[in-house]
Amino acid sequence: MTFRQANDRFVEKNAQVLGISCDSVHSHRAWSASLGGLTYPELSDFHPKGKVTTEYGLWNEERGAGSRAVIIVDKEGIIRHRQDYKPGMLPNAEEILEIVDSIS
Amino acid sequence: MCWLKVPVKQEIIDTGGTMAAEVGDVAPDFNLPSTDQGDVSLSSFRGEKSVVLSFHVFDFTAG
Repeated sequence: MTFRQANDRFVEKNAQVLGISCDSVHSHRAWSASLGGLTYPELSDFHPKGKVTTEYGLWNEERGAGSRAVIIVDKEGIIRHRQDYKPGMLPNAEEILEIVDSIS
Repeated sequence: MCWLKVPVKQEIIDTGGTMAAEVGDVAPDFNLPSTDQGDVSLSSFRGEKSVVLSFHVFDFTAG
């Protein structure tokens, strides 16, 4: 299950999903439209490119983009879970929901 | 005067060493443009909601 499909269930748990990549907002909007609309905001770490991605230790210089990861931040702003994904691996929103549930 | 080079090198290494955000750390705040109206900052959710940050590689790909 993707975050797009599961977003309502995150909302029920008082959790906010934010997508982030180093693409521009224009790219995000076109991509979102191609998927029939994303259900959560997609953030653009485009300028200065990858600044936030770098602060989270996810910048890949060789690729010129970030790596895939899911980071759960609690209401106090503390990182409670971090999962890094190898290329081709996708997060399972169901699994992330369970972790959100367990920390809140 | 080769001692001058040492502090400079250490400074670079130290900066790199603090980059990764790990479990237990305060999440680095940000304020980024979004597909919703206006910018979104992490700190705006403080005290209100937990936040799931889903970093992906490129739009239009499975990454």
